Amino acid sequence: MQALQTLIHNLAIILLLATFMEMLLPNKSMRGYVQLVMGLFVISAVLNPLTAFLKHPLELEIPAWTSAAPQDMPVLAADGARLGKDAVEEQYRRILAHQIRALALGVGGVGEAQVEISFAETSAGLTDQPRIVGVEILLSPAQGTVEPVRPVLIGGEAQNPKSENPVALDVKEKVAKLMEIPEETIVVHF
Amino acid sequence: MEIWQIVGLALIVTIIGVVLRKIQPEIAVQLSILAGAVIFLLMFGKIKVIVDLLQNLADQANISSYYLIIVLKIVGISYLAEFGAQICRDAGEGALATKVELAAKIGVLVLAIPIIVAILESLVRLIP
Repeated sequence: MQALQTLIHNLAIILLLATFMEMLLPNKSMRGYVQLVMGLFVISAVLNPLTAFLKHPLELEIPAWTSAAPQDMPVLAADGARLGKDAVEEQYRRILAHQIRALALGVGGVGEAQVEISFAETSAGLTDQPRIVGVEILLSPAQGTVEPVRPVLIGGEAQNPKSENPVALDVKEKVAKLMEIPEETIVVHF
Repeated sequence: MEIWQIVGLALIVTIIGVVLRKIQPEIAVQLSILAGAVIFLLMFGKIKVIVDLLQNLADQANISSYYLIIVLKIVGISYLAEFGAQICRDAGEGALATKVELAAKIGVLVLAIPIIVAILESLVRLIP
């Protein structure tokens, strides 16, 4: 009953947000794009309780809502505002890390990927988007693939072997383009 | 800034622009860009109030800020693209305006990709 109440409450707010966002749009041609994202938002909101109801709980990588409210946390501790902000940042970090990992695994020759993201220390609000200052991706080759032998340079300039790898460069370029992160903040180890 | 002040500014710039267009069309376009930017900057404070309101609403409902950030980015992209495309159209560059709108649409789709991937992954796990 509690789950149903939460679902209806959150769905009402999501639909209210969707309507408000549509009103904010400058032209009708972009309406479909906002509707697409808000539709995915609704699917994400419905999917989690539905799978729990069907006794097949599914942990979504981008959850529509969190069970713990950041604004509840100040009650628990004196420096609760900072804790709340940290919780929001941690959730955002997990979502981003998963997305970058999925992008990296989509590149041929990558078997496993570990992603570390660091944010800038800011005095922004609870729900403000944190600024990404560094992304570190550790790639492992897929099983069965043989890493090509790197060309041996004799007497040439010393270069960073990690940045030479074409797979690492491909992952870096893909992540920079799709996640809109500056390429210089991304470090890929292969 | 009140709406009547913005309308007044727009009317004055329009009249000057109409006169200038016959004498020096390139200055008329620059004036139009300047007026557009000034009106946008004047409304910036009010836009921030709306965004803060939406963020508070999402925060109170424990709704993931990730979705809100993406939708707000979409709204921002569409406003910027509309602003640029209208300026291009005013300068008689209809083809360029269409390209700006296309770029905006692609940018918006790129923003939606992470969510689409996550939901598809979940659905695949649910129905293997």
